[in-house]
Amino acid sequence: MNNIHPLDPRKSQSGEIDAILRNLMGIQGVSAAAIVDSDGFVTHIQRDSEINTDAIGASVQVVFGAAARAAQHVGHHVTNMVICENAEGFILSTPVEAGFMLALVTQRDALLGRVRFELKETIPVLKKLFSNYLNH
Amino acid sequence: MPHMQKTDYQIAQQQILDGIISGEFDIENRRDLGPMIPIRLFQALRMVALGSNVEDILGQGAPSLVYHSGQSLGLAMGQLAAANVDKDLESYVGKIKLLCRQLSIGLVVPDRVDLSAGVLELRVDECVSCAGIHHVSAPICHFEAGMVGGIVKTFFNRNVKATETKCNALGDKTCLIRVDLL
Amino acid sequence: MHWFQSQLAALNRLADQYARAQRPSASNIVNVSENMRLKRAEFIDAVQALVNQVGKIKGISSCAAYHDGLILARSADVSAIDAFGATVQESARAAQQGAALLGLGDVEQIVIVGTKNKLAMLNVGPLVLCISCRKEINLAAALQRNIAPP
Repeated sequence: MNNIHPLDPRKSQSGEIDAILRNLMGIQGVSAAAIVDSDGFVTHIQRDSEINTDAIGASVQVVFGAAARAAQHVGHHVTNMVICENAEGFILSTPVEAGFMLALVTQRDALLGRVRFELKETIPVLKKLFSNYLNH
Repeated sequence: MPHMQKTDYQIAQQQILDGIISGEFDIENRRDLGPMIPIRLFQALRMVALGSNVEDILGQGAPSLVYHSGQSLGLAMGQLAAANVDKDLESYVGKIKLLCRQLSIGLVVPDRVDLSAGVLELRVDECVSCAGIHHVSAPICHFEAGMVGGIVKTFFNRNVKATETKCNALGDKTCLIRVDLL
Repeated sequence: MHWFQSQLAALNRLADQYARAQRPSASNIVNVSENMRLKRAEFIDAVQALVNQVGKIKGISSCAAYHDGLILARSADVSAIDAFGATVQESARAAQQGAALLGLGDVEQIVIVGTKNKLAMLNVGPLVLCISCRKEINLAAALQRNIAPP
């Protein structure tokens, strides 16, 4: 049994969130991975080029909010993921917890199923990390 | 990003911000009615057009949009206030207070400035957005939070996170905006 | 057990290990998260490696892996990846219905043979592996040996 406990659980959870984002960046074609809070503020980010974090954070929340509303209008209930297919790549956004979102930006050569699979598998862990993180 | 022609909203935005930056509040085509409007009309624009109507379309995305809009105004106000203050925080805040009073946004009062902790708290008394509004369940002045965030961001040239922690509409008598320097 | 079967068995073992890592645990969430990431990476890397190797075998036109009909891994020469994905989804749905009606159990493989080419779809954990070749190629024989370098 591991008897070594981190001194600051919040810090280690935040570190793990960064590790998860770094892992997502390792997928072919992924150019940015970010956590965005309910005000559209980017709280954690990994990226391989400069991005206007204010603008992307607000846009992710706005696009997800609009898509979720559209889903409600047609009786689709909860929205699990929004995928924007663009000329030069994809933007995927997924809700995490308490209004926080995970957003991924990819280049055109990303394999959508690979990125989506990783997102879907990552979200349950992120939800747990965030519920711990926010409660500390 | 490829060069894009300005949209009509961007053209109008430029003219409005230029008007604010010039400090000249008289306005053409309003000879009889003048530059002032009833606060309820502003609140209708803020809480209905940029509030419940936006929420109808954007759901949980609405506060982000409102915050971002406020931040745009705050960045413009910050640029105006930063001129000729030589990075002096007190002079900068003085100019911001004056500007917010001139624009009837509210009476801005620094409540706490702890630069070593990277935290500033600014009170907005008589806040234009929520004056006369009661019984809400959470702070509603996302626009003012974004505006204060933009103002602080301009001065320190750092990313900031502004959060409204007290709101007059919650019964707090004032709006308090906490800004964390990142 | 021939080469491809042993590769599939190894992939299924990795898929099982990943599924086990996902089960709720009382351990520290940070450790659980890291372990899940490592197990998932092992599984996906193995899928990509197998796809690359199968794609290089003489007689095989292309090889790809899909999740929910979306491309997850592919060999160098896959074209029409979205059409493959749509075929995977449609075929899986029809096969599952048929298997339920006939009491076949869980679907393991689907093979579509056309007049020119054929396509085999194999379930591996949460993924579907698609292999296409000319109709006249004996797929089982082609996959018995790994001619391509690993």
